[in-house]
Amino acid sequence: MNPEFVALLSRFLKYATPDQITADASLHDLGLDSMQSIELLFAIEDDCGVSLPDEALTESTFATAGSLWAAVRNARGDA
Amino acid sequence: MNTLYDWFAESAAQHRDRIALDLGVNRLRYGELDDLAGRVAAAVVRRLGQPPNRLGLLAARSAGAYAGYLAAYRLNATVVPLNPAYPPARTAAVATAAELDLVLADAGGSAGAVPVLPVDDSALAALPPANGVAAHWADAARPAYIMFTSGSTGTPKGVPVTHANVLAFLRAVAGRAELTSDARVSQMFDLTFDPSIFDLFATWGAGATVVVPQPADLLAAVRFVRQREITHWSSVPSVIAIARRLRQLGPDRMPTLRWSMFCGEPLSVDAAAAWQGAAPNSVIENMYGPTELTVTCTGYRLPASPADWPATTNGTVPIGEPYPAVAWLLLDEDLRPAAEGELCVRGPQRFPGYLDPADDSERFVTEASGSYRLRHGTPSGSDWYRTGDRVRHENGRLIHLGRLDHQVKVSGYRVELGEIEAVARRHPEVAQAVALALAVPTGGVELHLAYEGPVVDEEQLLAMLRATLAPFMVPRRLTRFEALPLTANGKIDRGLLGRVLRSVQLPGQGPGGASHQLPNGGGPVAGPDGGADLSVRASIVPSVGGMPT
Repeated sequence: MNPEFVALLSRFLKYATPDQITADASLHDLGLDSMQSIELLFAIEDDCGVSLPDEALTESTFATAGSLWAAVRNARGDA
Repeated sequence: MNTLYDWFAESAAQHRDRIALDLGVNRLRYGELDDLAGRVAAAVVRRLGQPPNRLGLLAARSAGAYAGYLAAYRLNATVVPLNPAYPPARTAAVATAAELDLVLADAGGSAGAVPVLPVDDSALAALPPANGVAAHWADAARPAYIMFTSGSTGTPKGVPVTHANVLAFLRAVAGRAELTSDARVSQMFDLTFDPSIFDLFATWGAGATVVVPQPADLLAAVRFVRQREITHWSSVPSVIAIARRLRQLGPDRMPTLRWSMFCGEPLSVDAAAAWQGAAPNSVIENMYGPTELTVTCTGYRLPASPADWPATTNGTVPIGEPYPAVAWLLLDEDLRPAAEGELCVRGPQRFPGYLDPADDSERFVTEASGSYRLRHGTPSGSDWYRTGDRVRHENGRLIHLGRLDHQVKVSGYRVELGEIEAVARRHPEVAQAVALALAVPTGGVELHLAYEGPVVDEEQLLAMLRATLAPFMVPRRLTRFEALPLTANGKIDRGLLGRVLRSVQLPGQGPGGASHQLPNGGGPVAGPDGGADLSVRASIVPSVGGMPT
């Protein structure tokens, strides 16, 4: 995960300090609910310049910081 | 037919092998759901030794939530929906105010001092057969549910709605929705938001299927419709804005949709057109109604071709005409009938009065020999309920113009700004507080709190707000003022305050650390002291009209 992505995530994870945001960290445990997932998706569009396709909008994509990062890279075509 | 249990049971007897509930992971036939409701009802009676008067339902989108609803009606108890996503203190306050006998909970949780009976999947699986639990009595005048809405004094306000009210509503909309037993109806609304009554009972009355979304479906409403073959959709219009923003509303993406209903907040013509493009086979209905008038009491069906859609002065779809049994009138501020004014309603869908009679004061109008006056005590059945909505009668249809008070809609949820202010003022250092709903460029509004007082620990203030208010009511930004701006007659100048906050807190820009002079030249920097940008730090996102959380 690049530092910009970690910084973006940290804006949405009210219980997390940046060093807790590791690839294996559960986004739910760090305080992300599905309503915030919407705002996070909007932010990914704005900051990373990609929109995740419909089929990526699943529980497993939002499971960990690493799984979401993988989906972003996939959508960017650089995975 | 007297109660909602009769409404369900008649249909269940006729459609025993059809699917009543599709939870994704499993499906329940009408016979199975009826049996499960009986088992839950029997467990409730075993637990209490007698049928309850009022039953709390701290459950969402589970078999226990739906069977619990029906179990309560089988016992002719009043349902009080509680939201698992709300703070425990709010749930406890509602449980106490509602004098609940028992709470059914599908995922643990507590409700203050009220005992809890688990209805999670494993608890349900262990329930013995019901052995003929019967309703202890059936009374149409009894409240079917009490919904708690935001209250301007700082305490949630209980709205009891009777079985007779709900049956009048269901009879008005059942035909209109063209529900047949092959229909598959979305269940997007939280049970704490009364349009969920349509999702459940209109569907069950037709022998059709309630289709329950999974949490991730919130992010992909269009995919949900496609994958689960939804024929009837109901939600707040905010869902359209989200789907558009995520570019999901391509042409003909939702071919299975036959009927779409939006309610809870204004539906813009623009949003309706976007939905119609993605669902070309669907009728679109815009409906309107406060909880006090039982889900919705007016509706407007858009013509099939967008070329025939009416132009309205404010770009929103009309709220249409009241249902046939609903009596209405518009009163100006001197309580005289007018073509534009406050919408007042009476008839079979009007609730009997608030749970706390103190809330009734001045909310009703009495008619006597052609003139109207405010009712101060308990309302009679023929009094008109004042909606607080400013409405114009235009070309035979009603157009919603706005509110007459400080109630706002945040993604369809009704919020009294006064409730946020009252809770903020409980903080010992907050001398004065004003909540504002500011428009955001993507549509909708965002809540801000401006407060007056010494520098406080804003994390602590925010934690206090979050512990008391429902998530959608928590302000996204807090801004401290040395002194809040006043109008010439000494009241807080909300208009000026809104302009100041907008000018310093444009999205993406942060609140700015610079000092701000109030534009009225009113002395030295009374303006915001560059408070923290809580939308970033605390990341509070309003939930969307009862979408899954």
